[in-house]
Amino acid sequence: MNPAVSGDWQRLSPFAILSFVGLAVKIFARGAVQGALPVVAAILLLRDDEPLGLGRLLPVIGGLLMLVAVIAVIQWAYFKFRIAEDRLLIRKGFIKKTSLDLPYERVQGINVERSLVDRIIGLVSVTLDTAGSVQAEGKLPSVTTEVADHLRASVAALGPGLAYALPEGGTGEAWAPGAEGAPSDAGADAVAAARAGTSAPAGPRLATRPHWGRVLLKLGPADMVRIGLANRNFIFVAAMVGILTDLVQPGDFLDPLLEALAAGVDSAAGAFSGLGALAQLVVVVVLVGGALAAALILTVTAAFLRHHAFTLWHDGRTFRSRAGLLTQREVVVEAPKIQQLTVSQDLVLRWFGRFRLRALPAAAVVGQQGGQNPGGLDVADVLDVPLLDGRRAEEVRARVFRREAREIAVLPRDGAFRRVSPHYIRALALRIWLTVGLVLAGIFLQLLLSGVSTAAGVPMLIGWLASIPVVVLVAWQLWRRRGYTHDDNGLASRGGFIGSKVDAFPLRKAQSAIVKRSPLQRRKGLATLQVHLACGKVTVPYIEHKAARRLRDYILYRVEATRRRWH
Amino acid sequence: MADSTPVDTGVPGMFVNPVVPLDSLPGTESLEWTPLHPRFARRLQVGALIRAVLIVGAWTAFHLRVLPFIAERLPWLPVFAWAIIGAFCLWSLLWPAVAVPRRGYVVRDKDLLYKSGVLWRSVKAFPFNRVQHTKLDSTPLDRRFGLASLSVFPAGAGAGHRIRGLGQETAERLRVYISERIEADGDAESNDTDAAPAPAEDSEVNSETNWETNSEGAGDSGQ
Repeated sequence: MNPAVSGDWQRLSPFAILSFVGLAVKIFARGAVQGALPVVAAILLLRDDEPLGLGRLLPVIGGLLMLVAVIAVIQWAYFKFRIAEDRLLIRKGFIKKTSLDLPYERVQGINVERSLVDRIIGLVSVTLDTAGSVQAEGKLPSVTTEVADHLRASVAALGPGLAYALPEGGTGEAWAPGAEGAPSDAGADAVAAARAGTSAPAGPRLATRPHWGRVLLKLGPADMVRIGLANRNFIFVAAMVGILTDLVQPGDFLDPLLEALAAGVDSAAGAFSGLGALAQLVVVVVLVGGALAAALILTVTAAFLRHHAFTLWHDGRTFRSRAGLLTQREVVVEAPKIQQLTVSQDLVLRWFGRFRLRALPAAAVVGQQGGQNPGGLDVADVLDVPLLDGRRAEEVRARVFRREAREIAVLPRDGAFRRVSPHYIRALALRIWLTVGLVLAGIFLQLLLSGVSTAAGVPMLIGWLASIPVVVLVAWQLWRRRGYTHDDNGLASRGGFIGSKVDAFPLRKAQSAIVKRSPLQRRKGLATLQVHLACGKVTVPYIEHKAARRLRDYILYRVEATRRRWH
Repeated sequence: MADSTPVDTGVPGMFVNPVVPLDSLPGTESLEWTPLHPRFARRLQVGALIRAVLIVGAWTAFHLRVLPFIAERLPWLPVFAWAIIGAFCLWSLLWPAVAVPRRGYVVRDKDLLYKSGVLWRSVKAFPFNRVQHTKLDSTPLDRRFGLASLSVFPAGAGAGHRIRGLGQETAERLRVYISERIEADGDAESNDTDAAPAPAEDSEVNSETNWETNSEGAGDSGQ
């Protein structure tokens, strides 16, 4: 076995202190927002005779920084880990001592992150993701790539779902973990081979570049721009600007705006109002254009930072993605753990003819004894492909679901999708309309309490009644986006309002199934089918009751007749 | 489920994958639903009564102390509030008598079904081989009536699914039964995955067949 990964207790590299500093700062920041900030604000308000200058703040900040540094060093000094044959053990904590025991067979996925500092020094941070239980998550900051590789190989060998480890026909070669430049860890391979019961891979040993299987997808700079454009925040800004530009009537629009601005930028506003109407318009256009451009630059930069050089590999049952400009993030997900694929497309992505794909693993605790609360999904653990075309999405689908459900529709405009009953429009419209009514009633009550006369309710009532056509249109659009399809092995449900989203899963992965019927549905012989998965639920609303029941029974049959693991 | 396809090939461990006619799948139409414990409705009513007393007490205090100031502006508000509270209390007192008889459960060989709802009805199905663990709990009031609640936890269902109003003994028996099923299943699963790597994965079936006409089970035949 490699000396770097021997079975003794060891410390992290001193560079890990930096990551502990980051952690401490994060905790402090959270604490400050929750608790300290109101206190500080109160002090500032009460003692306005003595303004808090920089000179008085500096010692406080300096003291905090010292505290953070000391805490980080202590945390580093008390952090020890041991790599045993079948598990990773971590001991940490100075005041509150924690010891973690992470058997490799419980590990759901390994994420490797390389921050800028890590990359300069040549270290990585490894996170072992254990089925979502927060307290049992193991993170090793700043370890050598050898340790990362060893852990990866061990988990691949001992992890759950061993039987799926058969490499897919085409690749031929078994997986061979290894990082850039670093020679593969022979000890790990031996462990892996022994556990997997396969012979050690003989051929591809000479490969010195990373062999992570086939590259499924690689995103270039143009794609980053697309991701940036499709960013929701950008759409929001653009929509706001669009509304504003629609409203621009140089005369009456600018005055209130100027008044608002005047308080802050008095002189600028004075100069501005000195201009003619046309010049004012030009200024507004420039301002709006500037804001748009700034938003665009911001979102595109964010896309570059997060997704730069996004690459997706597939080998056997392992999917691996790596991306990031400064901090490089690597997500490794095993295909059997993927419960559901979600393919979504908003307006901008539709314009580009691209999709976003997410592979959701189980969010809850796995294991017979259970007892822990299922933690929330950490976004980092989800295999998230920010941009890919339809053909690639279908390829990923086929590779994730393998022979079961490899044909199930995942693209929103797949012809296989069936509409749900039009009665759905009626039910939805009623629901939305009543919700609007409730909100209006709340506002009305508020107005009454603040002393407005009852007559104010009349325009509100008229507005509520007048909203019916809009509500019906909204419901109709929602119905148009709804759809479902299934085959022997999988089910896909589509939904959305402006964009669309498809959730597809193999029937075998269902956890429980519910058939629901509202009074309207019972009158019309309809029902809603809800399938709960380990990562959430998929709903098929307003289908024939008989079809819903049959589908439910079939799903139950598929779940109960299989003895294969779902994770 | 597997009962519908008991094909014995005579060869132990031989993988069989017979066609399952969809109509032969067991449905839920002809099931005998087991009702909840007969005292459960009464227990809910007693709970509602206690709650009603508490709510009315709290609101009376509020009425005496704070409400006069608001009532100066909105004279109808106290009446309105009392009407809502009264309706709520009355409803929660009477409703259990309507709702509880509509609830029921069935324990089948491989799953647990639970139905509920008067206007909005639902039938939930929990396959035993997806249940992670179970929980039994009872409040002091429950225990006075000899009742208990059983929760089943499939993966991903945070708070689990709770079946209230079982007799204590029934609940305990159910819990033991489900636990046994989970354990048996867990053993079968691990054996299966270690020894014979999932035959269904390698058999190229089903992908082209039409679900409506020809549904095959690609999973293993049952135990």
